[in-house]
Amino acid sequence: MANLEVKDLAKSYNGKTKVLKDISFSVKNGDLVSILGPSGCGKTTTLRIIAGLIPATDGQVLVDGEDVGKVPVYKRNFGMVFQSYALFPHMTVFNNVAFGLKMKKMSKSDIQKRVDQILKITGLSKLASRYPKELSGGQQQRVSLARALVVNPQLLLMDEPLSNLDAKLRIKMRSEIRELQQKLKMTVLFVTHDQRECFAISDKVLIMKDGKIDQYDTPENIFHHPSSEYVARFIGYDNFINVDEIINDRQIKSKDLVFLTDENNIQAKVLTIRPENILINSEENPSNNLIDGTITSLEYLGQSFKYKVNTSLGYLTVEESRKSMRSSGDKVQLYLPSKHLHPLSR
Amino acid sequence: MLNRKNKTLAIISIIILILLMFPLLLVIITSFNNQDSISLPIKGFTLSWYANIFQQPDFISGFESSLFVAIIASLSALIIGIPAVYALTRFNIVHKSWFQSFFLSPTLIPEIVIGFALYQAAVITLRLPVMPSLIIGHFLLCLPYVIRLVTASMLLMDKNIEEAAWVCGCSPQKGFFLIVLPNIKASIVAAFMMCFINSFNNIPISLFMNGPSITMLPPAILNYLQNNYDPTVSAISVVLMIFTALIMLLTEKLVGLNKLTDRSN
Repeated sequence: MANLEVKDLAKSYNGKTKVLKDISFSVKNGDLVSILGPSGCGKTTTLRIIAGLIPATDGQVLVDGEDVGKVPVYKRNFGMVFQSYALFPHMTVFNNVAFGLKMKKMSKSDIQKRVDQILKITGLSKLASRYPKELSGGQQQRVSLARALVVNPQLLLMDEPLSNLDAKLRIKMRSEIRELQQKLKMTVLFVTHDQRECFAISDKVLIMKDGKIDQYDTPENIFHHPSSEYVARFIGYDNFINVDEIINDRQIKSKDLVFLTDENNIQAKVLTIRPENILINSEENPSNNLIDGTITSLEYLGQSFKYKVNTSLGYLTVEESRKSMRSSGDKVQLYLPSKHLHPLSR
Repeated sequence: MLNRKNKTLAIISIIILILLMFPLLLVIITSFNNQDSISLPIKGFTLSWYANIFQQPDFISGFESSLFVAIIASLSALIIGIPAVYALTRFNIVHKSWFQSFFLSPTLIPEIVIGFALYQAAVITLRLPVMPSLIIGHFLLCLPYVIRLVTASMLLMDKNIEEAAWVCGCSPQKGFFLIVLPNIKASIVAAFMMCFINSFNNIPISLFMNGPSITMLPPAILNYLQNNYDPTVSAISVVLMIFTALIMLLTEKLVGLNKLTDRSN
């Protein structure tokens, strides 16, 4: 396994349509990094450039400090898992997995040993003589993973590997992937559009927007300190309060309301807060960061209730875990604790 | 239970089948007639017309050259056609649609016109020998079948499968043989069979290219018919029918014609 460094990657088609701009990041040996973004943001393009399947227009891809830009895809020694699994339909599970070793001209007995070992790790030993079409989605996904791992790749690339599975299997497979990654100390780049998925298993998350990196940090940091409104929206912040006036680095004004923040807000354009951090009719009797409103709609989420509250600053979404449900039309007072109110500069 | 719509369809199918099969049935019956002309009803039973086929040197040499031309033309159509299809489906080629229509154009031009044009170009102008001209003509006849059938199965094949092979350390050249060809095998076999049957049974192109030394089987039959109206023609027709049917059967056994459109094959 290896370090990966991407420097100033850019990609454009026909010299015009720019799909990637200034992509620079590095992945530490043994880390699992997710690239997160909506479809069309360039995440798959980035992955395919790193794999060597498409050329970059500009920039470098360094593996352990060596530029692999001129190395063709079949000489890079990476592993890749595709969304469609892309198993070879005319080969058995064993031969699918053995393919990469055969390409390396490994001896038959070594191939047998290595494939058996990988099939055991991925729990496929009993399926070795089956054909891909005789396997379930989850099994195909495992074969695809086994095929990528068998060659001891320097880097494992995964392109939305879980999005063809049903919800339950997806959660099971993602923890399996994470376990395997930690056990084998693999460097993994994982492309997904599912925020929960990537936060659950990643060491770091790279959030992309319109072909650019918006934020690259640990899941905890992104969760608590989103760098922009875009990132905040993507990871479940629903409430955005426009900053009309910065009073000082801890106080801002929106319309005629003053809000205190714990974080420095000197460059703030917007304040944001997660729905579950807003308190309704708080018993702490806070004296600031209060706003009055009326509940206009409600949703039952199982563990909690979700309310839409109409306030003088527009609609705010509040999530409250309580035994009884409030009803539509209730007048409520919302408390936005200063420690949860994050200033965003863009 | 058949519903009404299915019943109607079944009846129509049966009528069409009868319309197609009835003339063939007559040919089969007349081939056993012991009279000197092709006529019905038959007066007696004989196999002598089948024996007579082998007394006609034109039929024997025609069969040989038709077989030879059909095999060579079909194979060359595959050798040229498959890489062309690969390029057309995998790469961004300028004027892609132009190339596509070019490769399919022989189907749009009447075969008699192709025959005449080739006769003018290859035989008269370039003074090519008869055999190469025949092969060129039949190759043109075959190419569209290869392009159509192989393109269809190429488009059904997931492009990621090939890319997965590359990432596994397989060069694109090797991948073409190890990954692409095995996955379009069915369409290649089918294309070969279609080419072979069409080339073997072709009259218009062969007619123009018939040289002094080489006769193809279908023109030989036509020629025979003009001079002798006896059941030998029926007999050889039956033989050809069986020959073609056997090839279809072989294709079915090898790949299964219905599998051609099946993604998972």
